[in-house]
Amino acid sequence: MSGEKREHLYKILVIGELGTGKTSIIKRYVHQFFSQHYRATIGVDFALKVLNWDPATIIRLQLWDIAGQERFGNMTRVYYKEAVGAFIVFDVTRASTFDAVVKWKQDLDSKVQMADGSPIPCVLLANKCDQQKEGLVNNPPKMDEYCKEKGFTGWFETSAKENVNIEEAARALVSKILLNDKLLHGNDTKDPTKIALDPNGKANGEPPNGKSCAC
Amino acid sequence: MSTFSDSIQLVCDTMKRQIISRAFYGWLAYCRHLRTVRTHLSGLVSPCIVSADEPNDARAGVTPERWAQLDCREELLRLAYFGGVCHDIRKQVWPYLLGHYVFGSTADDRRTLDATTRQSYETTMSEWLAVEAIVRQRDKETMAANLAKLSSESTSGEAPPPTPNLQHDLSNDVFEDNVSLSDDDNDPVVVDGEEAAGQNDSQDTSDAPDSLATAAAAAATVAAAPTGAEVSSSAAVAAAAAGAVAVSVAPPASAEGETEDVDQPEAEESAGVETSSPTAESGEPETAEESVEQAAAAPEQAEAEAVVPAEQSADPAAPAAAGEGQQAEQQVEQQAEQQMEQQAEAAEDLTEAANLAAEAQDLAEAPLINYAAAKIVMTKPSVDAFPEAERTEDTTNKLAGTSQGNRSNCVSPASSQGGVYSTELLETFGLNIHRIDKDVQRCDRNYWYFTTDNLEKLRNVMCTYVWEHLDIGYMQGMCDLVAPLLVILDDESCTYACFCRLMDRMGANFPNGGAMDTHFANMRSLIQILDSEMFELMHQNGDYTHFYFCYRWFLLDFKRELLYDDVFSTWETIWAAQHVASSNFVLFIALALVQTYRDIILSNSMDFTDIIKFFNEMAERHDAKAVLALARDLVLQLQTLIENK
Repeated sequence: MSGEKREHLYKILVIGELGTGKTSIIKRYVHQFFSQHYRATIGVDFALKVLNWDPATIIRLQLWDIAGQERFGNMTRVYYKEAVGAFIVFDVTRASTFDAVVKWKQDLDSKVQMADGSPIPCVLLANKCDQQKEGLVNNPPKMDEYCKEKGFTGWFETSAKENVNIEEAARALVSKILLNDKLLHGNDTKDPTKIALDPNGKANGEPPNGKSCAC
Repeated sequence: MSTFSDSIQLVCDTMKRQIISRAFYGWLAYCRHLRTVRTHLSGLVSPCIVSADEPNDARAGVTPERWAQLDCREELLRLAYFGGVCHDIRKQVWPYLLGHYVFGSTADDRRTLDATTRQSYETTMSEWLAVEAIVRQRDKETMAANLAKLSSESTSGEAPPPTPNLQHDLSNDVFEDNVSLSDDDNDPVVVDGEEAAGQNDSQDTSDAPDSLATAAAAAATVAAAPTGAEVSSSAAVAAAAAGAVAVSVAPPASAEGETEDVDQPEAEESAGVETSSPTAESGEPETAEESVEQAAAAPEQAEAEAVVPAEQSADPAAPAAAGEGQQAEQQVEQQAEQQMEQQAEAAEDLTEAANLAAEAQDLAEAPLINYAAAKIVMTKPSVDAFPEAERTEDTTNKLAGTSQGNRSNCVSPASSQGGVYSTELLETFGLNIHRIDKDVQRCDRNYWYFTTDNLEKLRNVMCTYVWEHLDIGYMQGMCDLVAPLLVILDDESCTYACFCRLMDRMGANFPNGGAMDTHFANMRSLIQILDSEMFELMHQNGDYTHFYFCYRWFLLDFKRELLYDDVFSTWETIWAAQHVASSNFVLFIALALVQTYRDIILSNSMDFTDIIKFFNEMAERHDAKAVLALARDLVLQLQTLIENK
């Protein structure tokens, strides 16, 4: 199978408080473009990013841009379904958006898990880092500690406006997802075009059959 | 042999009977089910079918000619339902369609309604403006505390001094970390307010002079009569001047200022006369009963004193601001040169005086209005002092300084009046304001109407609504609902009233309302009845019968799915349909959208993600006319179906 290209489709969530720049990050990442005039997201928006990860791997990221206020609705359960990775975004200029990060993380972890029941990889984005920062984000060592404690894969200071670190953050998340894939499917090499989506990713955390390619 | 074939015959017969009976029972069950669904759905449409052709063709909609002749509400609704409203007269027609104006009311009735609407809108606005001022001041304190904390503990030194712009944003979020601050609320507020409110002002001016002007106008008209914008602003300046001249006199003066505002025409006259006797103020108010009471209740001396400065500057636009006016300005300057401590003292005096005045006025049975009065002053003078300052003096900076003082002076009474606003309320409203700001700033910026000025109006309407409905709070999407109303009506108080009407129906769609699930369930039944093939697909391809792909449609009445012109016609059709065809017309538009792309959806056998993506990409590309026609057709279809059961 080594000669064939592997293709993965990953569903990635982008969540966080209202007005933290989720849409801007996605537009920057996918369209290399920034505007002040994005409208508030209602419900969910989508974007697709294709990565030529290495000569043998193509990765399609299906980015789910979920409205900041949706944490209060019940729809996140449906939106989160089958996601394999997430970005939680906060705004460095507003500490309250950072305070909400942990609530988003809990919401995420309670509604979607990996095949083995562990939380899906999640990268924390400290967005708008071109502006003046407020709170813990001023103290990188403490942020590292925070991420370790709360189960984040890592954190990045990003700026959609100045195009800072967004590629890097995505790379980190995808690496982690690929690593998880390998761990979960280490022996599973018979399906070269496996789809990483997990149809059994029920919120109760006990998927009956593991990942889709195992079916 | 024959027995063998007989037995085969028997078996075959039995099987045939079984098959037939099974089929029959299956069919029976299906029919019963459909009947249940039909009964259920019959509630969705009106039982009587209104024709587009009787008594005349309604497809041309409400044209100016027809509008001029209309004498019957049913006819208006019928025309609007089948043909929409001609754009030029939307501004007149919409309040009727939304139920704000009663059809058949006289022009006088409507004028009175406008006046009361405006007055209550402005009263409400003055209330939340006051709270906003306090919230901002608290933000400032929090900011300062945070910075202090930061600079003391952080070694990174990454934090440059805050810019005013940022302070806006940084603010209210950190309350939880700084509970201690709330302890200080009661008295030091007076002192702190000076910086905070003052900085807000200077921010505003530097940021957006235009929006400031509107804000000024809005604030100024807070207690004003419909035509009294000028009057009230001058009154506000009067109050400001009064505050600057003699602080202890200021509060009654402000009360007077308010009275003056409420008095409408009289106030205008007296302001115009300028030198008129003090009794013009207190004696004449015939129109506003409360204000009479207030005036009566206000201490007489204070009244007399107050009237003088108020009169002086009541006509600030006139360059010849009279000798007294100059006095006032001189004193304003003096004050500007004085230091903060003095202002703080003065502020305390003022607080006391204000309390006295407020108490006195409380007796007059209009406590709310009194608070409003106090708040009007706190918001108005600071803003209004600017035009005056620019016109008469070059000492803008100094005046700005004093106006800061004034504003905060005036802020203090409200906050120190025995805790009128709880910390909780301040935090809740602060959070809401913040969300509103985030969404207002990015609301339809690509549409020509939304200039900075008009966004300010949008914000006012939104804040007023949220202040009146703090239990619900701001939810994302509300701005989108206000926006088209504001574009058409172009008047804050009318937009606010109409938005309230709109929210009577739409409010339940928001997360706490529960109407969304009902919509989804109805959609499910409708598709099951009207398009079983589609229903089948939805079942097969990953169950998306939860219909979340319709969420935005229902939340915003398709506002995001269509271009502005189409939103207008769609909305008025929905409003009219309520009385003509179906109070759930949105369902039929949704159905029409699904029907329109039915073949694409079926041939690609789309799953949940596909369909939600598809409709997101199709946003603002639909043929609204065709969709609306199809929706009306579907209503008729269901009506006929139910009629024939």
